[in-house]
Amino acid sequence: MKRDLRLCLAVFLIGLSLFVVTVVRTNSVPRLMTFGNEEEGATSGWVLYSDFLMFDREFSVNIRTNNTVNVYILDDGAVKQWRIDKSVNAVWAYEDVVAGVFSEQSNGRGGYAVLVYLPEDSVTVIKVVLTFSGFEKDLLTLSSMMIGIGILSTTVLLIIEQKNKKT
Amino acid sequence: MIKNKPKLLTTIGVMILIIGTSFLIGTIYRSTNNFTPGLLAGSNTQGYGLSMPFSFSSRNCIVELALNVPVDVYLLDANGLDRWLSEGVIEPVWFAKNVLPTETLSINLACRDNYSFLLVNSDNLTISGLLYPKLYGFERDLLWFSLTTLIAGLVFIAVSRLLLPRKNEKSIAVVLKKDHKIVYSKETMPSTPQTKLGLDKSKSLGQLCRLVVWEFDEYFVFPMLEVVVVVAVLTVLTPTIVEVLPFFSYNNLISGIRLVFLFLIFVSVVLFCHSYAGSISKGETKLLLSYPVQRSKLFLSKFITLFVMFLVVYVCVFALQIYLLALSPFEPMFYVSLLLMAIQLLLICSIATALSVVTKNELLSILVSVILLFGIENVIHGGLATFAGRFTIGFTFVRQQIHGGLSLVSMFDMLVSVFVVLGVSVLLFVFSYVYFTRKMEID
Repeated sequence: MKRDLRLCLAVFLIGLSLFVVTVVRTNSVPRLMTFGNEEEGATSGWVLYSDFLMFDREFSVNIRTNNTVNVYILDDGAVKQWRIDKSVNAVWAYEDVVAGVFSEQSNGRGGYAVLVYLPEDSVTVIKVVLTFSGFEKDLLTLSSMMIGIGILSTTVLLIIEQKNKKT
Repeated sequence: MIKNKPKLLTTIGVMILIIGTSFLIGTIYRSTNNFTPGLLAGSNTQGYGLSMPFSFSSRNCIVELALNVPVDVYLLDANGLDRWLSEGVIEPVWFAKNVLPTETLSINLACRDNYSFLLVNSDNLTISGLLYPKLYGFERDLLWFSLTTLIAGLVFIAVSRLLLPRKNEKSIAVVLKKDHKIVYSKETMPSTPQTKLGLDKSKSLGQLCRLVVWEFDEYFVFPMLEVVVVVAVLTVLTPTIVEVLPFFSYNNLISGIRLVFLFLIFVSVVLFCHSYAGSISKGETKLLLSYPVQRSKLFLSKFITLFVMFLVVYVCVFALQIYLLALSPFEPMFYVSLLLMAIQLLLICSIATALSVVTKNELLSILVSVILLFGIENVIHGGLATFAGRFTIGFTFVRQQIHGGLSLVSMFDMLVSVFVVLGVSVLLFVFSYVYFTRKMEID
């Protein structure tokens, strides 16, 4: 087999296997993350919950409280900034919310954390549920591109080969 | 590479048959495992009880209840559990109403998943007690897969038998003589490496390099290299994410390592045995050695080519984990995992090489190596006896040295998992080298 044709087929096969990986990973990466103070934790003021690893997937933020709260999702840099000077540079912000479900698309992989502000004059019960769904967009894009390039280049090479044979 | 189609079909058939048989043996062995721990059914919420999620395979299941009150029992799969936790909606895959506190239930699990038991008391009484699920019978998906693979293997072998030319036709093609010299037909003539290698040049290192290139062209012919890459991608990148804290994300490198080694063993053993034993049984080694090629260089070129190619492929695929797990490129645990994998790979390659040069039979050496290594890896879980176990021990030890944490692995275990493996690998390699270069008779 010619080396260039083999290379194209290899690109296609790697793309295909990455696509299978993308499909399998929809079940192997976390789908549900829960933050809140139903069982323990502060019930007023600023609360930063433990950070988590976010993958490049769609997700919904389900906020349920008994009070009006502010919920922020911070990326790694913003978490560090918050810890230094308590400034909020949120990637996603939901202010003056009592309850609601918000659909979002992740900006990229990395560490994120949920920061909430609970009114200080009362006891607030809060539950924030992040539900992840769908494929990891970056992996899906990469695998689709590789499959596309693989098919296209293989077809072109085969056509050129056919033409050369005829002449 | 085998150029004869029926022979290729037979080889593929035998391979599939071996895979099917090993899966069937695995299925039968796994059916003897009935142990499941008692699941706590209690909850703080009155009227409800939710057990921890538990991984169940597609087998029959008996659940013995030891509760304080009558309940409705709902079996939730992973999606059902998500819906229950996020929306409070019960979407069971199985349920039983008005179950007595000490009743025994029988469930037929359709597919493998993480299941949880949700117990509901209609009178809002607090539920406490335990559930004892006991799995029995074969795992249906595994059984079907192994049987289908077995049948597919048999079909391949049957088709290859039908395609085989009659014996007398074949013998005419091979023993055709002209002027007292054997003349091979185009199909049966072994490929001569003379033109590609330029063996008349006697520069030692140059010859080794040319042999390495020839070895690569000969044994990583399409689709061998592609299969290795695809297997690496599918096994390394699909394991479950067990650690969601970004700081401890490196722990995910160890998740699913058993699957990685199971497939790595299979693919590397097949290629090593095909290269060493296959080339001896095909007469390729004899032909090569009839030219001014040193046995030592031939042996080294085979080992270097295959080992380095496997290492390069797996290192490249592992490197993708840096991005996928949002790891730092300077994360020491990543490099530790690469090093540990290389050590274990060296042992696999040494065992396969030793068996190949001793048996000189491709199929036999593959069978013995796969049954030996695959069997040990599949039957024993963890510990120093398995590749995944030794990898885990080494990884855990270095992790507790670098990142701290509980002392789970002793220095002795780590030394055994690394240095004994290295020692055995070197011993087997030296034995194979000496045997191949000094003792082995090539027929």
